This record gives sequence, structure tokens and C-alpha cells, in this order.
Amino acid sequence: MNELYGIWPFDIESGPAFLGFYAFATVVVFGLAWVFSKVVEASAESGDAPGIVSPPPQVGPAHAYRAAPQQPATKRLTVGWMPQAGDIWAVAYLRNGVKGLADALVGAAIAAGRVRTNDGTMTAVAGLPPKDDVLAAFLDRIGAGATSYSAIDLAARAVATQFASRFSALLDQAGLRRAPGVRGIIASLTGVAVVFVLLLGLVRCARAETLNRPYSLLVVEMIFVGLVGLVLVFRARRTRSARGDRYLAWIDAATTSLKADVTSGRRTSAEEVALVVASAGLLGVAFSPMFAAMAPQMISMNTSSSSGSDGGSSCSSSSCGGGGGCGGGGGCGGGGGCGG
Amino acid sequence: MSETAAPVAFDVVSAFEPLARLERRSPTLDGAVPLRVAQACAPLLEGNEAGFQVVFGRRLVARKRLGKRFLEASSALEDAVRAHLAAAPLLAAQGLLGAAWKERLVRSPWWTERGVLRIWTGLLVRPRSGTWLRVSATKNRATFGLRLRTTWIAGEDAHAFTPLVLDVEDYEDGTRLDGEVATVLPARPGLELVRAGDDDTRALAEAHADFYDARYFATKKGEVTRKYRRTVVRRPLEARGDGGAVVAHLAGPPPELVRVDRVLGPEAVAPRPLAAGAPRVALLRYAHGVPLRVHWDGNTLEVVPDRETLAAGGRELRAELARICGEGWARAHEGAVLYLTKYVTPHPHGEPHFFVKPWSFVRTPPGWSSLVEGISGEGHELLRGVVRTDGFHAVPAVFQVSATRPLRVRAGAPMLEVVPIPRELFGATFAARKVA
Repeated sequence: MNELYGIWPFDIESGPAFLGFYAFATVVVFGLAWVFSKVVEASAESGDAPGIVSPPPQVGPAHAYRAAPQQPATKRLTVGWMPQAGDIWAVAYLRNGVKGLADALVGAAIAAGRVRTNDGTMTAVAGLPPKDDVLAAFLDRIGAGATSYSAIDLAARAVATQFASRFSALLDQAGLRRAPGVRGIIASLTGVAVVFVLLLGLVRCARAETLNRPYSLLVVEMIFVGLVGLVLVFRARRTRSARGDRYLAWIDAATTSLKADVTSGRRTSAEEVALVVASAGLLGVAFSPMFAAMAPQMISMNTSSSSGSDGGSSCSSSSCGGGGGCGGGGGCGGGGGCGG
Repeated sequence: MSETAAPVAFDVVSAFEPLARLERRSPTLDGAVPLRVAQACAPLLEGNEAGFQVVFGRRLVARKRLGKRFLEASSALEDAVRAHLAAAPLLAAQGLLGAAWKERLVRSPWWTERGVLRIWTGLLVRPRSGTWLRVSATKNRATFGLRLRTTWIAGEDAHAFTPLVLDVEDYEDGTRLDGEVATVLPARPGLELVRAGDDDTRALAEAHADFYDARYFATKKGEVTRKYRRTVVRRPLEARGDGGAVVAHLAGPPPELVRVDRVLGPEAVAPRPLAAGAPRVALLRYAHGVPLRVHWDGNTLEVVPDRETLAAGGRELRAELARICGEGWARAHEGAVLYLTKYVTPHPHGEPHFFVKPWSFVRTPPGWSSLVEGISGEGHELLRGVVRTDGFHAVPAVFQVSATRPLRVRAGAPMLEVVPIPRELFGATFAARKVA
């Protein structure tokens, strides 16, 4: 018999004793991997993202006797600076990848009056192309005439995929996406933990085989551990950084009253609606007057597709769980525009 | 929120949905003051109206358990925290919030510091040049037992603002912070306030005797005299004499002459000492001179001053008046002297109020009034008034008893703060801006 089989913990008594130990060891190893990942995350992604700094605008030529007034530098895509115009798409992409960007496009098109609903049918309305090239590409793709929500959603996803690389680069530049090195370390830590735990089980299985003892329950446990491990490794590949999470949390808080205004129909401009959808998802505005007619389709599409959202950035973090995505919690309770 | 025509004393900035707003109160508290007060008591009416009330738009509940002070978790608090945590970075990015404040406020808009519960209202303020802001508890229509530490805000920095933070020192467990909670009042540093010499004291005693003459008391027995309104409020500025700010102390514990030398500013979250030579706000702090036993039963009020202390104070006062104004002066102005020596004057039957009159006079330069701010104690509140001390020189404290159990007010306990302020600042307004 292999000498390894006589060493603790491989020599633990078969049955519940080892199965219990294996479960405990799995929790400990995964927990350690999580702690180390957080340490890496905290050291690499502390503070706020630097954003994209624009130099202060040049007011005019310097005077011979007096310095030109100093204008502060402006920033984009960082905490403290509300996203303007095209950056809204980047926020949507940061929140939920292609799906998030597609939702924001749909929201903006509806708010701009380029998609209308009537008796349950949807009509794309022709009009002048907007200045924004992303929205223009989307409107160009849906064209004009009768359509369906699913067709619009499909077109939006296609356009979002087309522009994904642009927004990935923009988010990288702003420091809102995880650096490949950090992602690699965290994924490796998780992967090593999974492999270690599975190896432990494999050695024990080999021992059981040698001793001609049953080990089917251990295999079941290993399969479960393997599945959990796969999920963890998948999550470790997320592209959004902790700074990105903080930025989204800030946007979510900063748009609380805006969400309430959009939901109640007090604000209807395409940019404002797009920002709300970018920060809270389409479900966040599903019950506002302008979206009410298509709410059932939006809800069914969004709830059925949410589990299968692409890997641009997973929606498992605090930004989605904290009530941002469900719209009602933050936006309605605060009484933002209700005179508070 | 702001009015036109009145001078602008400070700027206010907010973002998103601030917890509080600033509002001017009506002199009659929307008709809530007794008719007699509305007809005659100009100092109280002006006190009601003074400054801007910090009005909470959401109800927060202050808790106190095992010495720990905190705000009770609620959806209102959650909304406020959410909005303020979003606002702080935005305001900092605009250069309106200093680094130290930003670091503090992005963690939480409320926190405890050495037993004081500090709550950011969501507003930033910046006094205009030559102006300070006094932040204190609201008065005259206020939550019983809610004590705020008075802070002074000075804006030395031309650009950055100071967060309007309320420092809640004490309260009953479960106190609701809702509606009017604090007052922001502009003041002007630089006035020299000194103790009066004999000449000034004599002039102030004569002015006091002129006001409280025999005719005043004859009228007072039957009805309100409205003399203050007729002779002080309506007196033209040029007829108010001149001279600097003085306090004439006659008897009892002398008022403490304070020059405020620590102010809150945009650069630090705690008040910092002023630079040497910088102008300061001068004020007077009075302590209770006579121990009192007070009992309000909902119908009648009994106030019993300690007889020996009162008698000793009366003797001291008469002796001082005799020394300065001459023998026989007190006998010639019995009513005016009794006003002081009586020390306590109850309000009409059925009211839980009474006056206490410190044994001193205050004079301010023409155009300056004095904020007479009571310092509340256990079971009683002291109201706020504004006395035109350029024409009337007594600074009475008005008690409002808030408990029906017998109370004792000990001698030496803080009673009043008297702050000379230019009258134009009582009517001053502010410029508001919302950052989006």
C-alpha cells in the first residue's frame, strides 16, 4: 500500500468522519483563498478609481500682468463626477456588460420617442439620427416600422457587442476594470484551492480503491465541491474591479432622486432615463409611465435573461444585490423629488 | 429659500437631497404665541425670527443606550445616509469640500465624537466676508432636553465651504429630530466688548430708570404698555447715542466676558484656534445668581428664590447704585430698582414662564442688538430673545418650565449668552445653490 495512505488526513476513518472532514477542509481552503483574494484586491484596488482626467480648459492667453483664471481639471468616470453623455454607456457596460449597455440603449430610445408602444405592439419611429454614435447605430439597426420587444432587445445587444471593446478600453483607462495581473492572481488562488481540495479527494478515492472500500458518497461530495469550485473560478474572472464596484455604488446612490423622478414620470429626457437604466437596469424604470405599456415584456425578458448574462462583468456583486437593480428600494423610498 | 433686498450674509450649497433645509421662522411662530406676546413682546418676536432654522425633512430618532449615542436605523436614515454619501464626493470634486471633511463625510454623515453625536445636515455653508455663523439649538419652539453644542463657523477660505454639522450634546433616549432642530445666525466679529466704567454705568442706570418710570408701572398694572416697541424699536438710529459695547455689572456673579477664539472652518472637522490678531466675536455669559425652587403643576407656577442670596444681592445692587449714581438715587427710582432686585417676575397665571433679570446692563453701538440666548437646564428651557441694547439695556432671561416635578436651579449654573450682533444681520439672507 502507498505510504501516503497512512498519513493524516488520509488515514481518517471511512464514512461520516472523513466526509465531514472533507466538507470542513473544503470550507477552510476556499475561505483561505477568499481571504487571500480580498487581500490582493484591497492592496491593488484600494481607494477610488483615478478616472479620466481632462486638462483644465484654456480660458485665454495669459495677460502680461495677471495670470489667467485657473480652471479646475475635470474628471470622468470616477467617484464625485456624474457621468455625462457618452460616459453613460460606459457605466451601463461596467454594471452589466453587453446586457447592461443594451438595456441602456433601449431605455434611451424609448425616452427619445424613437420606440413607441400601442396596444401591446411596438413601433420603431424614424427620425433624425442623434449625435451620439452608439445610439445612432442602434436606431439605424432597428430602422422603422412595427417590431417586437425581443427584436429591439436583440438589436440592442448586437450594437452593444459591436461597441464593447470601445467601452472596455475606456473603463480600463478609468481604472474601473480589474487589471489582468490582479485577475490572474485571484483566479489562480481560487483555482489552486479547488485543485487542492479535489486532489485531496482523489487520493482518498485511490486509497479506498486499494482497500476495496466504497467511496461513492465521497465522489458525490467531490462533484458538488467541483461545481462550487467552477462557480468560484468563474467569479474570479470578473472584470470589474473593487473600484468599479465602489463607483457603481456611488452612481446608484447619486441617482436616487433621479430614479424616483424617472419612475414617477417627472423626468423623461433620454439622457436621464439612460443614466437610470445604466445604474439600475431596465427593471428600475419598468413601472414608469413611459415604460408601463411594455413592462410585462421587459420583465419577462430581463428576468429570464438575467441568469444568462454574458461574462463582461458578472452581476453577483454588491452592486446588483444591494437594491440598485430592483429599482424600487432606493429610488422610491427616499422621496427624492417628493419634497423631502 | 432666499429673499431679496436683504443683505446676503452667507452662501449655502447642497447636492441631491440634503437632510435639512434652512427656513426663516415667522415672529409669531405661525400664530402660536399668546396674543399678549404678539402685541407687545418685541424681543421675543425678534428672537423667534432670528436667523434661519435648520429644518430636518426626514425624521431621525436619536438613541442613547449604555452611554452610547447613535441614530436609530430607519428608512429615513438610510435615505439620508445614501444621499449624503453620494453628495460628499460630488461636492469634493467641485472643490467645495475640503480634504479633511471629505475623508470624514464619505465614511458616514453622522458619527459620535467624545460623546457628542455629530450629524451632517447635507448643507455646506460659507459666511461672506466679515461674517461668522453661529450654529446652536433652536429655541422658543424646540424639543425639550435636546442640547446642541454651539459652534461658530468662519470662512477664511475664499472657495471652500464648511459642512453644516449639528453637534448634539445631550438628549432623551428616543428624541425625534424632525422639523426645526437648530438655528444658523450670522454674526460679525471685531466688536470690542468691555466692562463699563462708572460714567457709562451711570448713564445706563439713568436710561434704565427713564424706561421703568412710575408711569410705566402705572400702565403695566392694567394692560401691556408697548413702551419698548414705542420708545426703543421705533427710535431712530441717530437718537440712540453712541459709544462702544459695554457691560455694566451691578451685583451678583459678574458675567463672563468671552471672546470666541475657536471656529469651525472648511479645513478641519473640529474647531481650530484663530490666528493671533484675527477679529473675534465677543459675548457675555451669565450664570444664575440666585438659587431657585420652581414648581409648575400645569395651572400655577411657583418660583421661590433663595431669600438670603436675593437679599444680599439686593443690598449689593443698591450699594453699587448709590456709589455710582449717588445716595437717594435708588429711592427716587424705586420701580426701576425693584425691577432688578425682585430678580424673578412671573408671567400671567396659567403660563409656565417667568422672567429672571440679571443685575447688569448691556449697551451696544447704534444699530446693534443683542441676541439673548438662554441656556436650558434640567426640566426647564430658557428662551431666545433679541434685545435692542443700543436703546434698552436689561437682558432678562425667560424661563419655560417643561417638567411638572419640583425643580431646583442652582446658583452658578449657566443661564444666558448675550451676543451683540448688527441688526442688519438679523434680517440678512443667504444665497443658495444646488450642485447637480
